[in-house]
Amino acid sequence: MAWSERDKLLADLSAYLDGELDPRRAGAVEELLSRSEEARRTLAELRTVSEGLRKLPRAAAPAELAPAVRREVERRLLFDDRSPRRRVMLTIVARITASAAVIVACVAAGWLAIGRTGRPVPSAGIAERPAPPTVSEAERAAEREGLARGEPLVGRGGIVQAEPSPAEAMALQADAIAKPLAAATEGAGARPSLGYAGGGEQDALDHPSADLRLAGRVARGLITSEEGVPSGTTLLDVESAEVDAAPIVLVTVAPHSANEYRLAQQTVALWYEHASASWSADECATSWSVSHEGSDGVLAQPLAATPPSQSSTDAANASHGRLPAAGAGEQVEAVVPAPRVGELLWQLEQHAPQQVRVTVSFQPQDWSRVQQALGTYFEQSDTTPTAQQHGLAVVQLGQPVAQPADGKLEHTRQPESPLSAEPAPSAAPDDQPALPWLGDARWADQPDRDAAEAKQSDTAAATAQPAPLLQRRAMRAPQPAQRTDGGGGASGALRAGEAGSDGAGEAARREAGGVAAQDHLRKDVSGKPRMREEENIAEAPALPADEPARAARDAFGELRAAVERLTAWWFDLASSAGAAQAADPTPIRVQVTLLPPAEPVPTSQPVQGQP
Amino acid sequence: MFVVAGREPAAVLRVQTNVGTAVNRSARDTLDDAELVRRAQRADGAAFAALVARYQERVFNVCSRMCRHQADALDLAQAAFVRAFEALPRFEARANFFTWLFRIVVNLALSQRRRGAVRREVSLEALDGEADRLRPSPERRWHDPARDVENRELGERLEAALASLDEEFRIAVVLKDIEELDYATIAEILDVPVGTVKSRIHRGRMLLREQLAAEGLLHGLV
Repeated sequence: MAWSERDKLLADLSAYLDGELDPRRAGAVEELLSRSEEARRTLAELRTVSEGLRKLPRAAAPAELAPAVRREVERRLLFDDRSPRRRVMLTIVARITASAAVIVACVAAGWLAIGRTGRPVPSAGIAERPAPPTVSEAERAAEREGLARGEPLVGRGGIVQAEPSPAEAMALQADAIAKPLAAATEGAGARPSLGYAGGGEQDALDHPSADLRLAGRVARGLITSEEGVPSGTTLLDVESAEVDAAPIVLVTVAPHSANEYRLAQQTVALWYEHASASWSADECATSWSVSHEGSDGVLAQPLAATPPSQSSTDAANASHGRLPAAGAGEQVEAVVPAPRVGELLWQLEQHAPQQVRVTVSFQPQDWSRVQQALGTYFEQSDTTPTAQQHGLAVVQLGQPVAQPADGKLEHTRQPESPLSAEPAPSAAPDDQPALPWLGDARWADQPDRDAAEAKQSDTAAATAQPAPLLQRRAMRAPQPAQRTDGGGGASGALRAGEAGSDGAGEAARREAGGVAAQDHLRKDVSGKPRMREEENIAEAPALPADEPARAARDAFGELRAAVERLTAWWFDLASSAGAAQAADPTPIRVQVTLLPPAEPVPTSQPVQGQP
Repeated sequence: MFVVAGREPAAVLRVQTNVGTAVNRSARDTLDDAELVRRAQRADGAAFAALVARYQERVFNVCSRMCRHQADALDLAQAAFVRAFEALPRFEARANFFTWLFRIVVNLALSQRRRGAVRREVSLEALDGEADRLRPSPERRWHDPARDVENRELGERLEAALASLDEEFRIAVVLKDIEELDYATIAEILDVPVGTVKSRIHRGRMLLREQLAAEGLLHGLV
């Protein structure tokens, strides 16, 4: 036997050991083994090595591997253009964009996430996301026309794939699923009542499926909102089913009013916002859709029947149902987590369309929490780069605040006035409070305290920095110089008490403030086009000026909806793990009362103090 | 949590998350790879999660042999699964998912090694203390109490010797002797001819044999 052949046979020893040789070759190896001691020894040692390797302990997969994979896959599902599912979903988005329900709900989510003024909501981690690509009106119009013809969205910002691909085919398949789903949904409407026994959402939360977990989170958000908004009652069911062999997940709620309906819808949007840390309409729509059945006379129009339009705010409102009539004296009551009290006041100051009174009720032992929330909220927000980016000035507590005897703190808010953009005056009227961070907060049980604090305020205003809240407004929404009265404007929006308390000048400021609010909204939205739907709102016609009562009702409805959205959102955060800023879920009751509307003032009336 | 009695809902809002799954965990466990892959290709996250659960032990075990450091192995295993998820639409149903997945693992390991992203350990001393990360699985536990200590030391040395092999030999030996795959499957995973697999396995074992023999440990393994 040649040396080379022997060497080859030796090289086949491992394969012989593993039983991987054909019979002829195996016979040759066995012949070698029968004659060669070296071959037998080598084979024995190879077997020893192989068996030793087989006996090595296996490395157990760390417990964090599967969750890490899941998180990464979910992240890519949500945000990565390369994800096959995202391509599917984004193609689906192109088809369901026609649903005004989705659009409006996402608008609400975006509104809450970034604030109409562009101020980020702390702790949500949303405002840090870059704005989506701006889409021109022409692009949108062309887009809608294309959608109407069934064309897929052409890539914008690299988000939507235009090429016909398996994703496109899957989208068509999803469409095929959606139709029988709609039919099944209609059939399910025969159920007269949907009692919710609880627990379904927890099962979904623990499920490995991202879809089911999302459903569970949505469900939990709805339940939380139920607890957070006492006036609401929502039936809920979490179930899974198969429609045409396609697995789906349904979260069913039964609101009893248009407002609850909208709240539930918005809560879904908010929950998805929270889940995906995204606020854009596209992101919202990629993972959920809504439909409704039944009608209470308000929700008479199917949501999907409302086509998207650049001036569709009215239609969208109609499809969602206007809130019940609300007038002066009506209240909306909310329970917010303690750390959010200051934020709620801030939001009210920014967005309340009419003068309101805010009453914060709390247990005596919670006073420190409330005080801390009110004070540190502004202080902290002013120290963050984001806050500085939005032009927030430093806010400091004006005066030490004593604990109210009855645990009730009232705060009256008046619509933002352009006059408030003025720098602080050298002196303030006697009736001004001394709490620039809180506005005209008054102790309900200590009317005499107002006068004492007002005097202190005079001293402080004469020597201290300009009222910080006013500076914030000034930097965000600068107003024309002619809209100043030159006197007492330092904290006009904050110190104003009941309507008409400041005479014609105050009324003029309020009137001008309404204009400013609209201008401010338009400017803010157009200046930072977060979402196309937001611009729809901006282009909505103003409420009729000759119907103040109706305007008040609508305005209060908006206010109430906003408060409900906020509370739902905050309790959502408070109930979710890892929401550091919502770690204290101590409930604080807040009542927002609509005050009588101001007397109409002719817009042509010259503003007092105008140069 | 709350009950509404005697009150008809005025309207029902149905919130449908997009395509999810209706099958429960136990039902998924009974599905074969092909069915799970088919569902995962339809963007069923639960099906893919089931695949992850099914193969995470084997994938991580291979990764640990390739990386030595647990953190690197974890990253590699995670990257492999994510890469598999991304590539699922291109996966052909007639292929074997496990083989395909292991091919991804190997390719990622090799590419990371080339980029120097994974630390390499060749020193026996450096591996002291690393063995704690290797927890014996029930089926692989060394049952002889009298030899546990000795076998553990031998196992550590064998691990170290294995880690010192060139990667092409090491992965072939790992797939054969630890994952117990046949040559054809290994060839498919490594995308090389069967003859190459045979050669690499033999050379890898011979190198291990030489290292252990030099330390006088060869006979202690049996």
